[in-house]
Parts: sequence; C-alpha cells; structure tokens
Amino acid sequence: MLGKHAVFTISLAVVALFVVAGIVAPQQLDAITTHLHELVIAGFGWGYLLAAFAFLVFSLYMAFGPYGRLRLGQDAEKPQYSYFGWFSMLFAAGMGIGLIFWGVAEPLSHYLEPPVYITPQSGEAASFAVAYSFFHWGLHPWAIYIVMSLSIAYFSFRRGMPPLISSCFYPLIGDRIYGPSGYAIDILAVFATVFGIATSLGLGAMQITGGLAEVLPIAAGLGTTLGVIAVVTVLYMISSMVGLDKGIQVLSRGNVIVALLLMTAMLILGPTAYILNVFTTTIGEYLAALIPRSLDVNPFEGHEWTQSWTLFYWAWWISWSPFVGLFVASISRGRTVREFVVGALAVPALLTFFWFAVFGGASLHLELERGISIAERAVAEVPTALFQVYSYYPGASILTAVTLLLLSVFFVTSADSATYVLAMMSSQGQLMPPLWKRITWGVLQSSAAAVLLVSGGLEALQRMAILAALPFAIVMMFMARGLLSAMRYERVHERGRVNAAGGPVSRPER
Amino acid sequence: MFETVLVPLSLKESAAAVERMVAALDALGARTVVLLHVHSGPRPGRRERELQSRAAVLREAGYNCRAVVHSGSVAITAVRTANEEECDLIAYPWRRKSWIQRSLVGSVTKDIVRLANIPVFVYKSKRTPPAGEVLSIMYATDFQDTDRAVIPYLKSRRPAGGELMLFHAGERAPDPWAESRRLALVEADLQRLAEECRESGRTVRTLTVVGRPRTAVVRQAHRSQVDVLVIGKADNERALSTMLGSTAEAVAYNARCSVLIFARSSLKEYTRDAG
Repeated sequence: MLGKHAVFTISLAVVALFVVAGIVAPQQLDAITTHLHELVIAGFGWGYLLAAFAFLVFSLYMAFGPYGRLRLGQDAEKPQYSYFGWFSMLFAAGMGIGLIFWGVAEPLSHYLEPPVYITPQSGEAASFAVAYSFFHWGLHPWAIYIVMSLSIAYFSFRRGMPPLISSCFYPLIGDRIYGPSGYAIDILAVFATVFGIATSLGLGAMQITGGLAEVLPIAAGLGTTLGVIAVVTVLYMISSMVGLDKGIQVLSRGNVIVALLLMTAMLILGPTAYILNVFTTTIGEYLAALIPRSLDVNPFEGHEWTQSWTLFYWAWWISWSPFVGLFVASISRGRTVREFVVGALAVPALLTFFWFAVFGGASLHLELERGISIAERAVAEVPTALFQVYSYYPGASILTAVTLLLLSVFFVTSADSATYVLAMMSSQGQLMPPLWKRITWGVLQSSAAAVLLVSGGLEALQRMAILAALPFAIVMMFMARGLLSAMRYERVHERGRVNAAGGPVSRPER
Repeated sequence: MFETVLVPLSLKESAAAVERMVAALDALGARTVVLLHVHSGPRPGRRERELQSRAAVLREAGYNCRAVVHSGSVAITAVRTANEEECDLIAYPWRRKSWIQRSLVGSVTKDIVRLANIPVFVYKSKRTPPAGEVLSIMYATDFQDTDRAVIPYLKSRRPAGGELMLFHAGERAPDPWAESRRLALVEADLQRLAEECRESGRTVRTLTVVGRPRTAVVRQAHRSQVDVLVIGKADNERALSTMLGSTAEAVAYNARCSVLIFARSSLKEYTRDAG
C-alpha cells in the first residue's frame, strides 16, 4: 500500500510519535526508557562487549585476510576522494562534536569518579582516566562502523545494489529484502539515526551556547540554545542543498585543519612535554591492555562503572553505526577493503588519541601539577569543561572562539550528513535523494532536538537510541555473516572473471 | 560395480537385519560379502565363532560370504581390512546413538566416512525397502570431481528402475543478477547430469534449493521420501569444516534413509571401471 515510500512514511510517523511523547509526557517517557535502558545494559552488557570485540577481529580479518584486495567498486575503479578529503569526512561523521564535548570532560570524570578499586583523584586514577578515554574512543567504535560501512559499500558499489542496510542481507534472505523484513531493518536504522543525531545536536547546541557565553556578553540560557539550533539548521540545510562534494567535503576538510591547528596550539601553549609523555605512555598501555579491556565487564568490582561508561559507549556507537556506516560507505567508493579498513581504523583513532592526550593531559596537568581544582567544576558543567580549561592557559578567548567555530562546523557537517543519510535510507537508497525529503528530515531532527531540549526529553531520546542498539548489534552480526558469505562466493565462483568494464562478471552493465 | 563389500558388524545386530542388509547389497550388485568383527575385549574366539556362524547362514541363503576378525579401532580396522580384502564398498549398519553416547564414544559411522577412500554405504534398515522393490534415489551434487565417481554408478542399472532425483543445495549469490546467473548455471549442470543418468532407464528429475548443503540435503531427502541418498565427499575440507565434520559425515549420520558416500579419492577406480 505504501509502496516505495513505506520506509519514509512509517519511520516518520513513529519518530514523530516519540517526539510528541517526549513533549507531552517527558517524565513518563523518561521513566519507561530508564527502566528499559537499565534492563538492557544489565542483562546484555556482556553481549555488547563481545560484539564490539568480534567486530574488531572481523575488521582485522577483512584487512589482512584473503579479501583485502577486493575493491569497493569495479576492479579498475579509483577512489572518489583524496586521502585527506576522505579522512576529514570520516572523522567529522564518526566523532566530530562528541570528541570536543568529551575531550576534557571524560578524562576528568574518570579521574574524579573511577571504579571502586581505584582511589579517586590519584595518579593511578589519572592514568586510568586517559587510558579508558583512549579505549572508549579508539579502535572499537571504528570497528563497529567498519562492519556497517564495509558491508554497505561492498553490496552497493561492487554488487550494484542500492546503498541500504537491507541490501547487505541479500545473501541471507534473498528477495525478502524488498518486503517487510527489509523495510523493518531500514526503519530500525532510521530510528537509531534520528534519535542519535537529535540528542547529539541538542548536546552540541548546549556546548556552543556555553562557549558563546564565555566570549560574548550573552546569557547561556535556553533561548540562546534554541537560537543556536535555528542558525545551525539554516546553515546545514544550505550545505545539504549544495551537495556532498562541495558541502560536507569542504566543511570537513576545513574542520580537520582547524582541529589540527587547535590541537597544535594547545600542545604548544600547554605542558608540551607532559602531554607527549601522556600520549606515549597511554598508547603503550592501550595496546598492551587491548584484549583484556575489550572483554572486561568487571563482574566482581566496578561493574556499575563499566555499565555506565564502557557499555553505554558501545551501545551508543552501535546505535550510531547506521548513520556513520552509510555515510562512510558513500564516501569510500573505489578503495580496496584493506585500504578502507586500515585507513578507517588507524587514522581517526590516532587523531582521537592525540586529542585526548592534548586536552585530557592539559586538564590533568592543572589538577596534578598546578594544584588547580578543575575536575569537579568541569564534571558538573560538562558543556563548558573545555572552556574552563582554556581559562588557565594563554590565549583563552582565541582558543574558545576557534573551538566555537569548530563546534559549529562539526554541528553542520554531522547534521548535514545525517540529513543526507536519512533521505537516502528513506528513498530506496537513491544516491541523490529528493530535496523535499532532505528538508523534511533536516527540519524534523532539529525540531526534535529543540523541542526535547525544552521539555527535558532529550536524555530519554538518547536512551531510545541506545535501546535500538540491541537489535542492531544482532543485525550487524548477520551483516558480517552475509558479507563473508558474499565475499567467499565471489572468491570461489567469480575470481578472475571480469567483464569488459573491469567489474565482476556477475554484475550486468547498467 | 560393487562386487566385493566389507560389512563391519558389532554382533549386536540381529541375524534378520544382517540378512536384509546383505539382500540390499545384492540389489546393488554385490557378489562377495566380507563380514568383519573388530573386537576389543576378552574371548575373541567366541566372537569369531559367532561371526562364522552368521557367515554360514548367509552362505546357506546363497550369498558368497567370508568372515574376518581383527582387533583395534573399528573405523581404522574396517578401512584397512577393506583395502587388504580389495573391497569396492564398505557397508555399515547404522545404529542411532544418543547425544551423550556420541559425545563420549564418538560415531563409528562418521569415522568410517571420514577415513574411507572407497564408497561407504550407511545402511538404515527401517528406511530402506526390501531388496527387489523399486528404489527412489537422490543424488546431492555440488558439481565437483566426485560427480565423475558417482555418475557411473547412477548410470548403471543396479538397482534397476525407480526414480532418480538430482539435487543441488547452494548458498545464495551476493546479488540478484549473480543469483539468477548462478541458478541458470546450476540448472544447466543438473540437466547435463540428468541427460547422462537417463541411460539407466530411471525417471530423472532435478531440484535446486538455496541453503546450507548439510541441512538442506537431509531435509529434502526426508521431504521427498527417498530410499537411498547418494553424496560425494570432498577430500580437502576447509579448516573449520574439518573441525565440525564434513558435509558428507553430517548427512550420513543425520539422514533418515540409507546413504551412499563416494570419496573423491575413489575417482580413479571408478573412471577405470566405467572405461
């Protein structure tokens, strides 16, 4: 009955329903989602750890196993974007606002409130804080994204199917991907994306407001936050209309340059040797403890800490994976599997490690070496934590202004790419989705962020995104299975057989 | 084709069941039956006398039969004796074991299938019609070299008449175009085999399904009520399959009908036979 608009109509209706519930009955929605969230994290937390570790092993197998040389496109195809453009867009979509939001707040939070077996505000707590910040933002999130994006890129660019999550299920369920089963998978992906992006935009807008209040004579109130959302929405709608090549790519490139400049400035203005010591030590510790930490649920001591941090993050990355996965897939055409996995695992993770070493290291230096008690204030006001740290270093107002610019552009690129992905998912995987759908999703996600910020339902929406991660973790397991089966089929049945255009022989010229 | 057949017996089988099995082997063309008992406990003399008496019964019934007793592992000894006695087939009477029994002592059927270089017939008495009745046969093929070992048997007129189903189960291709191409190729291959098998005088039909062979073959054999399932055994299974057991081992154990398994390494023998 709904035909080709089934995914769009159903997901729009259900998302609108949740947003209305967040406006009308925020407390009830909060109570329900809190209960469900606790149930899921308490009952299936171990599953998230196992799944994330399995995805990491799977990614490494993809890179260094027998399928590493397969190209995500036709055999003779060249990558669409340069390395720098590609890395910039990867980073902007995968981390972006979150990294700026948590770059200072997360290490300080672990330092202040580590698991029960570590003494708070000690040297051990500081070492633990940076190590776990690396761990939460390191290889695992990217491995989760890789499973999603590699599958989508393979099935769409190499096998000629629409760039949809449901396409990856063809080897497993065949033509049923064109029916209710396929729609259900795509609708679930739309939910996770809308819920995830709306909360991220809400939190990002709060941070921009906090920063603006530091440098301009304005109050950091709700009105300012809503104004920020409105301005940024206009900006990303313009970027979305300009298109992927000119819009997101240019903004992402510019943003990575600004981020690198900001990091370098903080490295020079801050305790340089201390930061580099933190970086070097924590990299070593990260690599040495990668496997035990990947599987450590801490059942005997500190389990609550693991639940509220590690398990929360793993669920959060999984819930973001449809959005990041689809976007990363759409910019990775023409790369080999090995190039894709190594690039997407190593480069963003390394940049993230350096970010945490610089900003986390500088803030811990204030606490441990200069005796400035900043952790409690920063953790109490997470959106302004970074600006508070700046205030103890030279050029604070310039650093704050540059960070605001960075945040705003990350906000625009995240929202822009999410709008693009949502429109693509609800248009049967069209690479150029209709403008009206992009506008609809753009307005909906910004309105959801703004309205829920007012009603207080933002956190409930975030928990909804995390709840969607549970079925999605299972969906991703099957995606990995489907991808392996497809690649094995190609290696066994089609190896060496290419058509005139250099593509696999099975794929007709279209 | 299967002139000399080795039949390992635990001696727990009833005399009637053994006689039914030998009659079924006769229908397959067996001329000499070698009964084997592998003992591991005391008093081998008593076991040997019992086996000799069973051989005598079969001889009285008109079969050319001799008895051999050895000690050691059943599967290894059966395969070694089959080589020594120049047998063309090992026929093993199947007995269902519980999950616990299988976990503790393993499955002799699976071990023989895994070790044998000659065809193995896993006889399931309740599902195999008496000799002389028309058999319905299903050959599950993956179009590998084992076809060359199996086709001469399917072309032969032993057992005569009946129906032959050529069956293929394979995993779905990665996309709809590759899938339609795969299905076309599978159908062409099945028709080619069907053409060859029509020489036997049997009614031949073909069927393709999507799925994992080790489950799809067993399911289809049951659904189509076939009497004998014929399958080839790949010698070089992948590492994971080696650990989990080959498709042929799983099918031999799980199918409800009798199963005839051809090893790829028996190819030379049967090509020569056919020639």
